[in-house]
Amino acid sequence: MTHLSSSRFKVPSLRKSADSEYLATILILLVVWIFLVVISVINRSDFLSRATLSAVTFNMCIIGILAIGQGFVVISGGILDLSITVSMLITSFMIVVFYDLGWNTPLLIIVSLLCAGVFGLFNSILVVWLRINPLIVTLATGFAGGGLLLIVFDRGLVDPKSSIADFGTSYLFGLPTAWWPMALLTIGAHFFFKYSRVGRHFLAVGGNPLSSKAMGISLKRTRVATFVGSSIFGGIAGIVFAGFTPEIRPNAGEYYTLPVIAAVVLAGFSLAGGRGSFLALFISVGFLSTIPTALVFFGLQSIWQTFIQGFILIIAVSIDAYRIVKVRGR
Amino acid sequence: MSLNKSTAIKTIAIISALAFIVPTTSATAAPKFKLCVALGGIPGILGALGTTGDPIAKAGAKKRGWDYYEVSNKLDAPTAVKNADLIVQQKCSALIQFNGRPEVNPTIAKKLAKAKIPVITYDIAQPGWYFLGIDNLAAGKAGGAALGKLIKDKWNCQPDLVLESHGYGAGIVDAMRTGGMVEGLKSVCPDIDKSKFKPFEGNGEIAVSQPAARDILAANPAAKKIAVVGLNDAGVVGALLAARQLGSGYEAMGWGQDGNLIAGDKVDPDLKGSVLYFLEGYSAYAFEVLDAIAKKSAPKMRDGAVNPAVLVKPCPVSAAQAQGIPIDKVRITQLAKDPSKTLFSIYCPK
Amino acid sequence: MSTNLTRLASHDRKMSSVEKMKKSLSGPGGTIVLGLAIIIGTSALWVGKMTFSSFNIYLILGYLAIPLIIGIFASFSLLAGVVDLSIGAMVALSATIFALLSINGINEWVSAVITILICMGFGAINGTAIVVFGANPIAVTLGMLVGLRGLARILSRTAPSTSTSQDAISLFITGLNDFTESQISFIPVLFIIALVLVFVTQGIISLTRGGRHIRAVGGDITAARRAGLATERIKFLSLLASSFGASIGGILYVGKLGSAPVTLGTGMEFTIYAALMIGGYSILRGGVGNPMGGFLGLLIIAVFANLVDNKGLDIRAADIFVGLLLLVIVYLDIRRGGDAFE
Repeated sequence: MTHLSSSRFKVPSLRKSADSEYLATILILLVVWIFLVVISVINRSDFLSRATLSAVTFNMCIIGILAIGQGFVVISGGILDLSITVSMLITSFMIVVFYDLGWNTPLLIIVSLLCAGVFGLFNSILVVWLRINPLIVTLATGFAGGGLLLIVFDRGLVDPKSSIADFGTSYLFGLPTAWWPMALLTIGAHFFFKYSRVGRHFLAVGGNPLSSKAMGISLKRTRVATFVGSSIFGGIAGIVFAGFTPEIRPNAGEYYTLPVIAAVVLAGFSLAGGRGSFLALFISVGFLSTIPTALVFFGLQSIWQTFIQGFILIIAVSIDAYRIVKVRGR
Repeated sequence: MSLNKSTAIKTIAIISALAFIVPTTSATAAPKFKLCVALGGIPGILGALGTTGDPIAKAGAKKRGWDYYEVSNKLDAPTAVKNADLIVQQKCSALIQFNGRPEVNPTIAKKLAKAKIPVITYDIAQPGWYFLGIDNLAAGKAGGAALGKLIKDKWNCQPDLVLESHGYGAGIVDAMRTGGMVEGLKSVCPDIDKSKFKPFEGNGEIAVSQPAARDILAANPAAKKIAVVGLNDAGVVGALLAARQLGSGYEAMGWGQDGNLIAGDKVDPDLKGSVLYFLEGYSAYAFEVLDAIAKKSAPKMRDGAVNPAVLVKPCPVSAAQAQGIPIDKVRITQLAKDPSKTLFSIYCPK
Repeated sequence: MSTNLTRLASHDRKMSSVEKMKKSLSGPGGTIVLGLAIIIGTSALWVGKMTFSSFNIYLILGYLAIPLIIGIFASFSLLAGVVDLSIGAMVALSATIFALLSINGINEWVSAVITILICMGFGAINGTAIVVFGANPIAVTLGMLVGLRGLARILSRTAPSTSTSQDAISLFITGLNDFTESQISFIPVLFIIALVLVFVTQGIISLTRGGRHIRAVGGDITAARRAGLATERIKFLSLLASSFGASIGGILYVGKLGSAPVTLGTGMEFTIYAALMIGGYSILRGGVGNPMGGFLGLLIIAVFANLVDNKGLDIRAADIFVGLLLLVIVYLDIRRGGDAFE
């Protein structure tokens, strides 16, 4: 069997149709987001203000970063990483531990991220060596990890005087400082998966693992990179979380798991792998983060939030699936 | 398939036979007093005690040579009901219960009454159970009044907004604490306009109260002087942080409840005070009643929040006063060494 | 050619009794029963005779009765190849709607029927999105999970304020409570009903044509379609079945608990699907699994939880064990030829 170098592997027509699908998803999401903004402005003309922009962008920070990690897993064929919030909390708690030990900030951030990476490595070992489906692996490690966090850390207190806490409340170029890593990482991910060779490897593995293997891409190494990668993104979200939240509790992850999956699915990522646009993800995170603020402007209580988000997801996924069926002709 | 069944049946038979041969370790002949604790607290209300165990009760039981058994319902109602059956099976002599799902208390009470097990309930009243708790309403009013005084001094009783960070799942406790704070505030500053009060669901947790408060502040852009009251410290601090995050020109002041975030050296600068409940040390008070029950002279039933069996004194503190007080983990280790005292007597500033 | 002959020859060779034992234990039924034997044995040795006391058995069976009922109905959708993640939230919604209607004076039987119809309506929404629009079942039922939890919360707030909190409706229905608590000797009647349901479902799945059709749809949908089966209708009906089971569960819980807490069923999806997976079902493909196995899987989890309860073990440690247990079970399943990931 001839070994085909993957850089020579190009199927232009397939790429083009994928691109046009992404474009359609991006446009639809933009339209829906703008629609939400428009009806909010009609309801209250002061909806468009610096304060609203700040509130929405703050909402985007943590979910946005977690969504990149989750999107990474989905696009690479890892189905879902249900333990990503555990990675986030590991980093947050370790930041507190190291801060209390007096370490300097850059060092403690890097080591705390590495701790999250170790957790991701553990996940990937279960997937690659024991060959257990990643959905089940991350379901189990998420559950067990949550219990472990509860035993080891009761709660973590972040010093309001620390530079991490400052990071959580400061601004850069008119937007929250914490928002910029999210935006830059999302755009970086978009370019990485679309244009770089390694990125396209992940896409290939997600889309068709068997032919990728035939092309010489190591599936094992891809899986390891995927889950370590998602846990690192979880860790980065953990840094932001520590900046935002002075008291870190082990159960806090439960507020993020579902909204993150919703954002990824809404952005048109296929849970079967191989398909997804990170630009669309950025927009879907933005849209989902605008809903809670808009609801308050409409005078609706926050309990309507989950109800509306859930049904928006169902409608969006249905429309998207229907569109795919029409385009591909089943 | 028949091979499987017979092998399995053989295995189960052997193991069951073992069970009868092996001497039992549970249910001894001599009836020692057995203290049981059934927890499952709303994390926001009772902090660590709610979900992870009661070291004070355990230490006290050990000191008295009692048996001890602890179970948690993880805030799940069917589990809480199942735990009631467990308590009966464990043949408990007395039960301390803190049930975060109080709507199933009547069902639990039925089961425990049938087994004649006396119950001490923390903070959540149930007819027929000894009530041990803080007067949440009085504590709320005291905190609200203290905040009101600050608002009077600094803002001439004219805040732009009063954020009420509720935890509606806590039911009557939320109504008393947060509602009490509002009452206390109004007792010092009676002329604040009704429209300035904004209640919202903060769930007693920063992860929920922070984004919710951010959105409310964004929807009220003209408001810059923000007062915050709430179910607990976490609910209040989340809102204070939200104001700091939105940046320009905000002046925020909050007074908390339960003292979870006022102790230690990492206190939020805008949290001006709180009311320490010393929740982790509740069980020190329970032994008054438990000792009487053990001596077979159970005290008169006092099951109301208004007329409690044991009234725990709250300790209102300003941030300045709280400076010397260590966090709950440290306090618990201190108390476990000598459970005859109460945390109130050790730590509340005179 | 020669390889085939040698394979045939080894089949004809008589297996030693050790080999026979190994073969039986490594089959699907064998693993579950072995697991059950191990956990019962551990409890017998560690906790002692109390494990087999009538009260303890009542405790175990009473607790798993309602999840078993919900799980058996959910198993239909797993068999058909769709996973319904919204069952836990639907239990809470059903309990809330039932309590809300009854507390406002509507006759309980009428409330029950209305509740079931409404829940099946949401099941139909699931079905429409998945079958008609072709959306991914995980995504759709996840959205339904989130949406229904929110809806339950919203509805709970509209209840009259006689309840102790806004997140639960307190309602004690004596007749229903008597039914859910009733026992024949020490065995809860609800458990007996659940067990009958298990056997009936087992019969439907293995013996009837309908059962074969569901398995075909779940196993290989293209082949099923080509064979002329109404695959869309079967999948749709299976989702209606799981929502039906969840609605019944919610109503029963109101009877058992005397209230409808909004947090009801949180994490129930995890327990039920873990139990079903132990029993041989898969949430990633349909066509496999049998109700007996699901029942035994739930029994394993329940006995394990009972062990933790009786020894007063730390609940958080139990969480870790459940996660590990799931991994072990699935790994063993892979070893005996199940779906490995690559």
